[in-house]
Amino acid sequence: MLWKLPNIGVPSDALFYIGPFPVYNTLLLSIVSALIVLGFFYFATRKASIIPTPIQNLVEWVTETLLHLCEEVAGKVNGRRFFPWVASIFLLVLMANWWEVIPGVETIGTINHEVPGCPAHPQTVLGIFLVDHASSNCITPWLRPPSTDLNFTIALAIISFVATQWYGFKILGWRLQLGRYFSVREGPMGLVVGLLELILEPLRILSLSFRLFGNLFAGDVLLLVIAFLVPFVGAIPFYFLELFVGFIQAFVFAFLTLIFMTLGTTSHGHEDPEEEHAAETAHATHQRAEVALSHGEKSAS
Amino acid sequence: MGINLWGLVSQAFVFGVMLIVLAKWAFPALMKTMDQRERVIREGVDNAEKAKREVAEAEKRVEALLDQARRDAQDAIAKATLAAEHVRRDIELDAQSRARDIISQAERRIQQEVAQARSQLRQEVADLAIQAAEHVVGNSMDQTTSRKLVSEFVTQSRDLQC
Repeated sequence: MLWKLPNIGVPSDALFYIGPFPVYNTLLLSIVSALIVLGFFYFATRKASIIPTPIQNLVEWVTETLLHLCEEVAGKVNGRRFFPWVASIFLLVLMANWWEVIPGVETIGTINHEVPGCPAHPQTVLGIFLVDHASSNCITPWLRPPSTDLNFTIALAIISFVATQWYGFKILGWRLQLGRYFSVREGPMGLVVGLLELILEPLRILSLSFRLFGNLFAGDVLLLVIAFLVPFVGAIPFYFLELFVGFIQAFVFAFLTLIFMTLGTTSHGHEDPEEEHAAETAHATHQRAEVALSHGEKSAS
Repeated sequence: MGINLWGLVSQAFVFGVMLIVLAKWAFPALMKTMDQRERVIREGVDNAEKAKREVAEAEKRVEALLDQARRDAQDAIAKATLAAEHVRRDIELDAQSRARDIISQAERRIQQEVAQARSQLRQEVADLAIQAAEHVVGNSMDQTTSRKLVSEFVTQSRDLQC
C-alpha cells in the first residue's frame, strides 16, 4: 500500500486564529465561495447592457430561472419577496458543494502533528500523494468544502427557519402566525395539530442541515476513498456524480426553503386567491419533492 | 460533530453579507437591465405588429385601388369600343354616301357621254343620209334644207321608237 487512508473527521480544522476566534478551513472556502458568487454578479452587472455579454447572459439566465421558480411556487408578490433568499442560498450552497471536485481541496495542507504517529513538526504538503507512506494520513487540509461542515449547513438552515418565521409574522400578522401553533378555536384537534407544527418547524432545521451535510460529507469521503484505492483515474467518474449531487443538493436546500417560506406565509383561511394558489402549489410541490428526494437518496445509497 | 457558536455565527455572517450585497445591489441592477430589455423587446414586437397591421391595411387599399383601376379600365375599354363602333359606322356611312355620289356622277357622265354620242351619231347619220340623197337626187336641194329635213326625220323616228 503506497498511501494510508487520510484521517477523516467531521469537525473542521482551525487554520489560524484572529484574536480568540479560529478561522476554519471550511470558513475560508465559504468566504471564497461568496466572493466568487459576488464576483460573477459584479462582472455581470458592471457594464450591464441590453445586449448581454456571455457572463451577463449566464448570470441573467440563472437569476431568471430562479425568479420564475419562486414566482411559480409562491406567487408573483411573495415570489419576488423570497427570491433573494432562495437565490443566495442556492448559489452559495452550489459553490460550496462543488469545491470537493476541485483538485487541491483537501489534499493541500499541513502535516498534523496531533495525529498519533505523525511527525512532530508541522510541515506543508502540496498534495496528498506527494508525501511518504507514513505521513499520508496526517494532512490537515487548508481548504475543505463548506458543505462538509455542520456549522455551515446548520447556520443556513437556521437562517432559512428564521426568515420563514419572520415573513410569517410580517405577512400574516402575529395573531395568525401564532394561531398556527396555538389554535384554540378548532378544539382539541387544532391544539394537537398546532403542537405538531410547533415541534416540526424547528425539526426542519435538522432535516435541511443534515441532508445537505450527509450527502456532501459522504460524497467527500467517497472521493477520498476511491482516490486512495485507485489513485488518479478511479475517482474521475465520481467527480461527475459529485457535480450532479452538489447541484441537486443545492437546489433541494433552496427549493425546500422556498416551500417552507410559502407554507409559512399561508394562512389556513386562504382569503387571497393568489395565496390559495401558492399554498396548493407549494403543498403539491413539497410532496413531489419529498418523493423525489426519497427516491434519489435510495438510488444514491 | 464540531458544532460551535463561532462556527455558526461566522458562516451565517458570510451568508448574510452575501445576501445583503446581492439583494441590495446585484439583483436590482440585473433585474433593471432585464426589465429594460423586456420593454425594448415588447416595443419591438408591438412595432412589428403595428407594421404588420399597416401593411395589411395598405394591401387592402392597394387591392381596392386595383379593383377600381380594373373597373375604370373596363369602362374605358367599353367606352372606347363604343366610340370605335360609332366611328366605324360613320366612316362606313360616309364611304357609302361617297360611293353613291361617285356612282351618280359616273352615271351622269355616262348619260352625258351617251347623249353626246347619240347627237354625234345622229349628225353622222344625217350627213350620210344627205350624202346618200344627194347622190340619188343630185344637187336639187341645198345643204341647209337637207340637214333640216333629215333632222326632222330623225326626231320623228325617235318619237316613233319611244
